[in-house]
Amino acid sequence: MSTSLVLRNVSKVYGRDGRAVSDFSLDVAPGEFLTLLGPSGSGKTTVLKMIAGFETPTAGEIELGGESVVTLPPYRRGIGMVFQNYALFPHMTVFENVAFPLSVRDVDRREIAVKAREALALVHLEEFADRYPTQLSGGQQQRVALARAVVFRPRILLMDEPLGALDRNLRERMKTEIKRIQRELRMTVVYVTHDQDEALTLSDRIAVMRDGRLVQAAPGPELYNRPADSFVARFVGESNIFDCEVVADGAGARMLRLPNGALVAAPSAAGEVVAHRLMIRPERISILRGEEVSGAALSGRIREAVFLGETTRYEIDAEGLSLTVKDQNRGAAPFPVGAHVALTWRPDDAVLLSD
Amino acid sequence: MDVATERVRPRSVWQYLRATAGLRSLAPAAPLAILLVGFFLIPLTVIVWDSFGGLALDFASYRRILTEPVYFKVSAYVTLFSILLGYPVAYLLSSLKPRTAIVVSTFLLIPLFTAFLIRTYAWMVILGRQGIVNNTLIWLGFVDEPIQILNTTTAVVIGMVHVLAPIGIFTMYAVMAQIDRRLVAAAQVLGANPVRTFLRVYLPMSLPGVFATATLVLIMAIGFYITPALLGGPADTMISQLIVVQTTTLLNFPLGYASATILLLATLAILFLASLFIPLEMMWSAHEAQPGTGGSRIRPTGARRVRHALSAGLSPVFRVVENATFRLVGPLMSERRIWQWVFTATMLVFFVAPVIVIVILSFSSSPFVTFPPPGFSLQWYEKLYRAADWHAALIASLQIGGAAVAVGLVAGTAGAFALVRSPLRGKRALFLLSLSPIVIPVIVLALALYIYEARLGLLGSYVGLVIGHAVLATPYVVVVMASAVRGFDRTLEHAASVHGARPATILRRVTLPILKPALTTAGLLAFLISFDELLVTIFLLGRLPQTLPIKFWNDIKYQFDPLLSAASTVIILAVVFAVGISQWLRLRRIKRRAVLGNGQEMTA
Repeated sequence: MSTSLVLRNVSKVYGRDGRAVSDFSLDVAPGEFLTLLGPSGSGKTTVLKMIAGFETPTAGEIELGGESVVTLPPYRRGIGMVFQNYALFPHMTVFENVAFPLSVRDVDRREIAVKAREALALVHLEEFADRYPTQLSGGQQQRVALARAVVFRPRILLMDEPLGALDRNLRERMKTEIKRIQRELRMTVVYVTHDQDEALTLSDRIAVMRDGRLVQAAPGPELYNRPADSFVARFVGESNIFDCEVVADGAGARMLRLPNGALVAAPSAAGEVVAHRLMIRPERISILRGEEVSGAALSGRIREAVFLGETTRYEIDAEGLSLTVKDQNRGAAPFPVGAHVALTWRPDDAVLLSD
Repeated sequence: MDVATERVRPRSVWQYLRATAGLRSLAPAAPLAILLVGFFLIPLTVIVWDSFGGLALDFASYRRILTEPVYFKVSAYVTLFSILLGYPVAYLLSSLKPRTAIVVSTFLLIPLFTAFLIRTYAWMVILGRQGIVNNTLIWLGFVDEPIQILNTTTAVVIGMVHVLAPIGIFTMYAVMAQIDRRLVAAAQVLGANPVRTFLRVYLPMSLPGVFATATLVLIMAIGFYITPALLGGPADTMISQLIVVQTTTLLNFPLGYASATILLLATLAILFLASLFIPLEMMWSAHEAQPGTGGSRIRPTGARRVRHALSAGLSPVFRVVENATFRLVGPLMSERRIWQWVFTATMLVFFVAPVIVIVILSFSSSPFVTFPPPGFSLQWYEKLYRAADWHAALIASLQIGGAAVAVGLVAGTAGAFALVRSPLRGKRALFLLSLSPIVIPVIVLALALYIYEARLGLLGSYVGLVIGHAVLATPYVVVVMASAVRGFDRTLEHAASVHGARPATILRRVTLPILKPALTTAGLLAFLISFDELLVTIFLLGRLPQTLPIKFWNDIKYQFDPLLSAASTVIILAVVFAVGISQWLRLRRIKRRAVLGNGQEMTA
């Protein structure tokens, strides 16, 4: 059932407001769960609207299963969609809502009943079939919307920030539900969110957008460990980012000079570029007692320590640089504020960013 | 970005239509445009043009009118009293819990929706020589013989305030309901006494509502016909009476045209002045004036500047007056708002009393209109039951009303969709234009349509009469439906579309069913307008069967007996029933929302 989706050089320009999406290209494989991640205004919803057919691209090509759909109206694209506010029809019962995609396709009445029941069973809402949407809780409405979107086995499922209106506990439960249903139905999903946790939990691949452009599309771990630029690094997870300069030390090994003058070993992937930025995740930095530890990258003083349960988060002044470090709590007493510490990391845990 | 590098797609019909979406989006407004241009703008242009003899530029009629004694004094009184008496009621109404507010507003809605004619008739009964007021005064020994109240300016003002004050209350209420009462609490916490809080915080925020009411009541008052014609004396001639007399009795058409033009210009001038201070949409529905629809014009900048200048100069005076007032009325402003309730209750009695008087009178055993009736009898209902002329009038009214509702609903709803959803600029101007038939005095429209339809050969035909009613009814449909369409969540249409519904299916299965409550309201309102309509009908009826208001009008003038009150009671019952049902539905909705709110808290 599932289909590939190809976006090729898609752009959307609004009248005088300017460019919402620029030269956006992306291939989504059949059965893949792809998330468009970005801050508000990054153009992710516009991309989704163009896939659904609510907006026409100013330029570019959109293909579903190898066929161009740009000229097709939404109702001929065979797409299922879950909306941010669910968009359930308030004048129809849960059953009628779920049956809607089938009934407008003139499916046989008995078949509608069977398939709608199936879809409701999939989201565990069989006994709510005769209620109206307003008589359901937010999480239940969300599941009705999901059932409606998948009842006709669409070629692809679009989800526009579907968990935005739910509280935290419910959001966690729904994440698992969505993932389970996607696996069960082996459906291609394009999911839009600004929440990195959602993106990391659900997706096979995440496409990070900024100002209408695709910045990086990669599986979650790669996005986290090898961000393409400082925007991705900051948007997905916490990060320490410094300007740095590639220099050669006395022995000819390549080193990085940080803004405070300290020299640290360069990651092996460092290219020939002269000016760089260095990114290191807070949990990849080891924190050691004492001012001088041989091989340490930096030394500094604890400015602030916040106990977070499984980790303690330190803000550290390191000779003019400010760093965040997350240290696993394994029972040792945390470092007090004001303590002098040494910081170190494996050279390959640091990432050189292109911008 | 180089445009040439962007690949231009082959355009399908679908895309072509989307590309022209701006213009296409206005297509549903076509019936509305035909109605407004063809039977409103052109007829008005015709009488304005003819009022100075066209190219002859003969202004003799204008010179004559300016010498006629026409009084705007009554309109000024009516506006003043409507605001002074209405403001406290609106204030209390806006501070009540929704359920209580619905109950209180029912007592305003019932008289509001009872025909002008019936209420004016009631005032004739109450204020007449044998009326309640005179009988009471004599019984109390204040006077020895009946005093003249009917056919005086006082009677006109009472009758018009009764009609216009409820409208003013709802207009002010709409603005007050949006004022955040926490600001009042905040001002008091910060140390302002209640009088100062009211004058410095609440009153300024409610002033746009007062301005809107003043404008609305004033333009309605200067065009009034029924009340001054029936309750007033010769000294109270209003300009609309002058127009009717000139064009139907004296057949001095140029003078009628000129009077109508002056009335039209006066109305437009008032509206123009008002538009400097408030968004005009505010007068017909507060929702239209929400931020985001009217943009930066929401703020009453003119009013603010004037107020600012005033308060800067008079600040010390204010402070003294405020403190003195607080000493005086402080004890009255108790927590339980007892005085507000007393005042509001008095006003509600004033609004409802005429309706009750009519109902009681309809059971009178006397052949004359005396109150209280000497005994109980059902004779007038028996007469009404056998009165074929009343039955024919009812049927005529239902037919015309049904046809006007059909035309108004189609033109108004389609037009509202176009006005709300079109991305084109200038929508606001089109919206105001579509409201204008209910803004300008009815007499002007009646005269204009009379002349125009006579030239088209439509005068005295069903089509002509229905068009006249539809022109008056459609703006109400536009107001109701525009606000409903604006509140309609378009993602529902997107959801239907992406899940396989074609545009026609979406309209039939999603959009219209969800808008059904608004369509019902709009249809009822349109019907009521047509059902109550007198002036346009007088001019356009020709030899068609009499409608109910015409029958009523003739009977009031020529055979004043309690049969009228029996007929009125039947109509009042219908109004009470309709208002009761709609208020009950609103109550139920509030209750359901409350229950649901609790339910959600429990599941969360």
